[in-house]
Amino acid sequence: MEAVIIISAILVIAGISILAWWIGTGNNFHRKQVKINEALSGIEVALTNRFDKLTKLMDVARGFAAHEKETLSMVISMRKGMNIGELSKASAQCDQLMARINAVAEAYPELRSAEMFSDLQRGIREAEAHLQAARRLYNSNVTLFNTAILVFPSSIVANSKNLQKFDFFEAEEAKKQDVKISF
Amino acid sequence: MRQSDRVREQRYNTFLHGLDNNNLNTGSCPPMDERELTARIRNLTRGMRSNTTTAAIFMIAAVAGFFFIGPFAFALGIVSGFFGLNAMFYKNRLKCLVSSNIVRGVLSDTFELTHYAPGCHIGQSTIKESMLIQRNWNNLSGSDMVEGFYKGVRFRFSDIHLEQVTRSKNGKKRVTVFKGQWLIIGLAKTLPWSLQLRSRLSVGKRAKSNIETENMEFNSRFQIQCGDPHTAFYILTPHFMEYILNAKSKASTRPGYRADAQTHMNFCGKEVHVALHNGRDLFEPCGRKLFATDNITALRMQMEWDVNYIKSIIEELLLNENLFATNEKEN
Repeated sequence: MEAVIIISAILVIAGISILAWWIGTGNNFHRKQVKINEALSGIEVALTNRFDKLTKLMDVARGFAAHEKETLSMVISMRKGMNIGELSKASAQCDQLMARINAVAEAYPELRSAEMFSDLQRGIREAEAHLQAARRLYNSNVTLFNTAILVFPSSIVANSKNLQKFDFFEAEEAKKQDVKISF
Repeated sequence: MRQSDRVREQRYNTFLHGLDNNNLNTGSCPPMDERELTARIRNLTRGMRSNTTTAAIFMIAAVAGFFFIGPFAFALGIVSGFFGLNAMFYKNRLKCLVSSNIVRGVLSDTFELTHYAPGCHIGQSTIKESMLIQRNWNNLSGSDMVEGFYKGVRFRFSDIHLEQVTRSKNGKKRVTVFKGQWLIIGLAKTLPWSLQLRSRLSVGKRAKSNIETENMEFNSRFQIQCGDPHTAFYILTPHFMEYILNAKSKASTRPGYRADAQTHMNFCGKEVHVALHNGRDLFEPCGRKLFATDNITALRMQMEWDVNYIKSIIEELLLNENLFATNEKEN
């Protein structure tokens, strides 16, 4: 009789422990997902900030190069709630716009030497540093989440909840290639 | 910050800013030419050596004599103390002479020197507010406060020695918590959150970081703590983490320095604090040896080596153009 009581007590304690672990692991996954969403919104904020500065730079450049309208008429529609792939594309479009503005600036020395233009370029460099930080933070949170859903025993909970891996914020294909230098 | 600490720091700042370079070491240690300097150093070294030897002999005699002549050996102890104090006097004079005539020149050749005060050090409140030293300490001493500019970036550093002094029946017990250099460099921008990097040699391999970077070597060498992960990633770019690791290896792989030298950093507001726990005092003419060399050239080389040690660490950190605005970039 005593043995039955002891065994029952052990089973009850084991059951409660497993339940507590199951709930705790599930909550950890939810926390990691919240962190990933927070990091994603950080990328959106950084991209929006960079886009705003680029728009101002474009306006300054337009003032000097009025006939370059078609070159500078690129408009990017930034919407809230973009997924990581869309954000990556928006970032690539901003990079292309920056390259075009720099190309125009090369042709107009008075534009390059304008204080407002230099200030805005500095602001864009700062915005890019923040964007870089936001991307790395997002990727770090995704790494933690993806690792947790793959390793045992938390993978049991992940599979039961049908959790999927998140995508990393990847570099654009063009940036992965070697830079061609020509003189 | 306590009121007394604030007052003391204000007085120190008034002292620094009220003096120009010529007045900092006047009176007792005026500048002199090389021949006179060599002769003075030789005399002081001889005096220090003889007084130290005599003090040691009388101390040994006092200890041995205690077993034969009892309490009268106490008189020998007093005589030993007198010679010991004399040796300290010669050592301080030697330090003053070397500081005024050699160290100041070496510092001015390397940095744009604004202040050099051999007897001053970074304040207690500054060190406490950086929160880099987690162990308890209740005694602070230091020397060789240097302030200036390097490549247009403002910095200051001094030797710092932190101890935990406890009193018991057997007397005072002193445990060194930190001994080395405390370096503060100005940043080009104000950081919204502070980032602390503590060497794992000090805090232990299991100490938890609340930030994990992609650089596994960096994560294994430093405990990283920051209130905002975005700020941490903004400061710790992949390149900058390499520069910090290089600076750390420069801090710990010099002959005569502790092999387990620890580097801690705190990026806070408009400054970065770099605490180099290497067991060394810079700009000491005697160094670890009791009997100093009286060779001016060797002394100058030793001081240049000490200055280059600090300069190499600053240079490594200044490679981060995002945080530091050097005048090389502007040119």
